[in-house]
Amino acid sequence: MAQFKNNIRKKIEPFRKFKDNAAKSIFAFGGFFIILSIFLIIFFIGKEAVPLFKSYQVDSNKNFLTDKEISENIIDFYPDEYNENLLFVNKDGQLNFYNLNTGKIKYTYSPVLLENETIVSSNSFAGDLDRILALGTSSGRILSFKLKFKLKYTSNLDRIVDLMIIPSTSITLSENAIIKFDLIENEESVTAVVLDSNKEIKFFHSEENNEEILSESLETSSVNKVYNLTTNLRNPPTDIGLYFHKNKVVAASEGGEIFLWSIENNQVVLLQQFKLSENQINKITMLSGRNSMVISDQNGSNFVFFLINNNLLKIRELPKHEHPIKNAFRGNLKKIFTSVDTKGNVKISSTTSGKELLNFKIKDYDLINFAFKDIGLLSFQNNNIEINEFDIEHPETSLKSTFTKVWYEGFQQPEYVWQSAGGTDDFEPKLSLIPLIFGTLKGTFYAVIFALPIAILAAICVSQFMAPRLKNIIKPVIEIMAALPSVVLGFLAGLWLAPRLDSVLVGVIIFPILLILSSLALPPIWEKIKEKTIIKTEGIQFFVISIPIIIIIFYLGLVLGEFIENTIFFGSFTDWLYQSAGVNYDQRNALVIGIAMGFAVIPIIFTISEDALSNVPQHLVSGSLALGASKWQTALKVVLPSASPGIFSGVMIGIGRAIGETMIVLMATGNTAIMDWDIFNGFRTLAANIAVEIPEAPVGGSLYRMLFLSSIILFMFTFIINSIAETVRIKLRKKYKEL
Amino acid sequence: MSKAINIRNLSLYYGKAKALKEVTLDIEANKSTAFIGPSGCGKSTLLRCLNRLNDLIEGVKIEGEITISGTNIYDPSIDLTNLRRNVGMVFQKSNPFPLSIYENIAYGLKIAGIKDKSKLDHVVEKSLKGAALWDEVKDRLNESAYGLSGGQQQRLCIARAIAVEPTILLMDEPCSALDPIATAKVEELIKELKKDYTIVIVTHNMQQASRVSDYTAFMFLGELIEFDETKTIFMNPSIQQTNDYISGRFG
Repeated sequence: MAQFKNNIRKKIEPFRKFKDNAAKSIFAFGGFFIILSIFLIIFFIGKEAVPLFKSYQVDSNKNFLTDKEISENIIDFYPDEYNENLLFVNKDGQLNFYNLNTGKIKYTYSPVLLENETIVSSNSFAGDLDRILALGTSSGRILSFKLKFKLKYTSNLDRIVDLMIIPSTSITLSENAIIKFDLIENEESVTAVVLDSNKEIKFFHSEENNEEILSESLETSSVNKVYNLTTNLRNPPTDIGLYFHKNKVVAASEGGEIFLWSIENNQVVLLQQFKLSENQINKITMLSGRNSMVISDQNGSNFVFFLINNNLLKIRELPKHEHPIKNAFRGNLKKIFTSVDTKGNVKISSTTSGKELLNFKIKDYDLINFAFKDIGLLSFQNNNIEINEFDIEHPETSLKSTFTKVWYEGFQQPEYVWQSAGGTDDFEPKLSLIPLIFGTLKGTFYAVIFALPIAILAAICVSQFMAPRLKNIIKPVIEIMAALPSVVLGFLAGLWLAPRLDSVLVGVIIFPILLILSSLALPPIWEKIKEKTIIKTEGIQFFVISIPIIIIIFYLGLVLGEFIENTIFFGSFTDWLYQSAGVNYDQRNALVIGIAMGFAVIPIIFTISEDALSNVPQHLVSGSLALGASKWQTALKVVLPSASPGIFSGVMIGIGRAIGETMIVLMATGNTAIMDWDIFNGFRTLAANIAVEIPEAPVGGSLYRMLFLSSIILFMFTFIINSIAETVRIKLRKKYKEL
Repeated sequence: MSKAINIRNLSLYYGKAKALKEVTLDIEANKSTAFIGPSGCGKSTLLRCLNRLNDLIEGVKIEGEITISGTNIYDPSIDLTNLRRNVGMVFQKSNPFPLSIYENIAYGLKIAGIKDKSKLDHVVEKSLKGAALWDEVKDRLNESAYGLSGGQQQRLCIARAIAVEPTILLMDEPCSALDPIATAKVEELIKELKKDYTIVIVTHNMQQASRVSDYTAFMFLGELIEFDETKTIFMNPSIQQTNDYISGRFG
C-alpha cells in the first residue's frame, strides 16, 4: 500500500512542480515587465525633456589658412549658412566669394565706386527674402546688395553653395566716411542711420521704392531727407542703432550716455537722454526684430534694454566680461547674444532669460563675424581663419524662464506667458509652464467644486437611504457614466452646452439655490403625504416622485432666471457683468468645464465613496440605531466619519482624473493660456496644451521638449495624487478590518 | 409580578421563510431572561424584534404583537428613536464607534440633543462606573476606543447602552467574542445590572445562561419550546427536546 502511494506521487509531483514554477515565473515576469515598462516610459520622457536645460559646448574648432593676397585688403567677411564659404569685402569694393575647403575664389563682384572712393564699413542683415549686404564708403554713401545664395548637390551629394550679388540701393548720407551704420531695407522703404568719420550721426528715410532711389543721380538723391542728430551730443558717439519703427534711433557715447531720438513729421525729437555709467559704451546691438537692444560697455557689462512707451528701460544684465567688450552679435534665428572682449573671451547668453549658455576663448583677431544661422563664430587674423562651431538648441528655456516671471519683449512688466509660436521669425518664444499648471488646477478646481457635493451626497443617499432594489439599478447606471467617452462630453460641452449656457446663466445659478430651499421646505409636506399614503421614504416611489419635482424646480429656476435677467440685469446678465464688474464672459469658460468635467469626475468620486460608505460595518450602524439615533444621524455621525478616508481617496482619484483629462478641456475651454481664476474665463491645461501643440512642435525643438517636460509634470501631479489616494485607501482597508 | 415585555403570537418572515412561529412570551421586569437554542433557532431575531432592529432588513414582515409597559411597539405611531432609547442593546461583537471613549459614551445623549457638558461628564462617569470600567479608563477618556481590549470594549458598549438610561437591556451573545476572564467580568456586570434593568440575553453558552439568568427560554426552529425559571429548565425540563439540548445531545 505504501509503495503504491509513492508511485503515484512520483508521477504527479514533477508535473505539478513544473506548473507551479511556470505560473510563478510567468506572473513574476508579467509584474516585472509592467514595472519595467513604466520606468522606461518615464525614462524616455525624461530623456526628451532634459536637453532643455543642458549646458552647451563648442562642438568643433577649425582653422583655415588663406593666401596672403586674398586676405590683404579685407575689411570684413561674411560666412554662408554652413560656414563653408566666405564672402570677403575688400577695401577697394571687390566682393570675393571664397571656398574654405578648396581655397579658391568662386565668384567676384565689383560694385561701381566713385573716384578715390573706398569701402570703410560693412554690415549684413536678413532682408525680406534674401540677405542684404551693405557697404559704407569713404565718401558717405551706403551701397546695398542682395545676396542670393543657391544650394546645389553634386552627384556625390556634396554640397555646393553658389552666390549671386545683385545691387539694390545707393544712398548718400554724408560728406565724410561712414564708420558705422544701421540699415533697414525692404520692398517699401529704406531707412538708415550712420556715424561718420566727423563723429556726426545722420538719419535717412525714404518710402520710395528702391529702384527710384537707385535711378536718381547720386548728388541730389534724397540729400534733403537726411537729418543730422548730432546737436545734443557732448561726448563723441560710439555706436548707433535703428528700431523697427524706422523712425527711432538710438546712440551711445564715449561718456556712457544713451540717446533716443524720434523723427516725426520731418522733425527730430530727442525722446530720452541718460547716462548709464561713467564707462564708455562700445557697442549697441539691436536684437533680431529690432524691438530691443543690448548695450555693451568698456567695463565688460552687457545690458538688455526694452523700448516701452517711448522710454528705454534696462531690463536685465547679461553675463559680464572681465575686459572691455570689443564685438557683439545678435542671434539671427535665436534669442541669443554673443559678446567678445578684448582678450578673446566669448560669452553667449540668452536674451530672454539672461542665462549664460556658452563661454570659450578665441585667438587674437582683427575681424570677427557670427555665423548666419547662429551655429558658430568666425574670427580672422592675418591669413588664419578660426571657426568655432556650436549649436545652441534651446536658448530660450531655463528652469528660471519656465517657472518664474520673465520680462519679454513688448511686455509692460515681467509675466508668466505661454506663447509658443508667433507670426514672424523674430518672434520670442514664451514657454512658461505656470499658466498651464494654473489652468490645470483651475479646471480641476471647478470640476471638483461641481462634482464633489453631487457625488458625495449621491453616495450617502444611495448607500444609506435607498432601498437595495433601487440601489442595484442606480449604482451601475452612475458607474456607466464613467464609461462615457470624454470626447463625447467635450463635444457636448463645447458645441451644445457652451453656446446655450450664457442665455440661461442666471437660471443655472439659481437652480441649486432653489433646490436647497425646496429640500428644506418639502419634508414637512412630505411627512403629511406619507401619513395619508403608503409611500415610504426609502422606497422606489420616493425617488420616482423626486425626479419630476427636480425637473419642475429646474424649470422654475430657468423661468425665474429669465425674469431676474430681464428685470435686474437689463435683459443680459453677461453684458451687465461686463459693464458693472468688468468681468468678460467667454463662451467657453470654467463653468462649462466645471459641469462637463464634473460629469466625468462624478462617477469616480461616487463609486469609491459609495463603496466606502456601504462597507462601513453594519454593526456600527446597528449600534448607533440601537442607541436611538435616526438614520440621518447615524449616516452623518458614524458612517460618514468612518468612511471619510475612503471618500477622501475617491476625491483624490477624481482630482487625478480631472488633472489628466484632455478632450473635455481641449474642446470646451477655448485654450487661452491666461492666469485668471474667474469662472467666466477660459484657460489652458497641461494636457490640452500637449494635444494642441503637437502639430506645431518640430521633433527636437524647444517646444517639442517643453511638451515632454509638461507631460512629466502632469505625470508627477497624477502620481502624487493617486499615491495619496492609494495610501489612504490601504489604511482604510486595515481600519475596516479592525472594526 | 410585573411583566415588562409581553410577546403575543409573534411571527416573523424573511421574505417567504418564517423565522419566528407564533412566539408568546412574558418577560419579567428587573430580572434577566436568557434565550437559548441551537444556531438559527431565531433567538437573536426575537431579541432584535424587541427594539425593532429587524426593520432595517429588507423584506421582513412581522405579525403579532409586542407590548412594552403596555404599549404596542409595532404601532405606526411609535417613535423608533424613543423606543430604542428605552430598549438598549449590546451586540455580539463589540462595536465602539471610531471616536474617543468619552464620545462613545456621550454619543447617545448627544444625538438626543443634550449638550450640557457637566451633565455629559456626569453621565459618562456614572455609565462607566455602572459598567465597571471607570477605574480602567478614567485617565484616558479622550483616547480612541479602539485602544481598549476586547473585554473592555464590550463593557464600553454596555456603558454606552446604559448611558441613555434604558429600562430594558438586550444582549446578543455579549461574551461570545471574549476570553474567559473578560467573560467572567461581563457576567458579573450583568448580575449587577439586573437590579436596575430588565435584561434579555441571547447566549450559546448554557453555563452562562444558568449563571446569569433568572428565566430561560429554549427555542428551536423559530418556535418557543419551553420557558420557565432557569433552575427548572436546567434541572427539570418538562419537554424532552429541552432536556436533549441541555444535556448536549444535539445543538
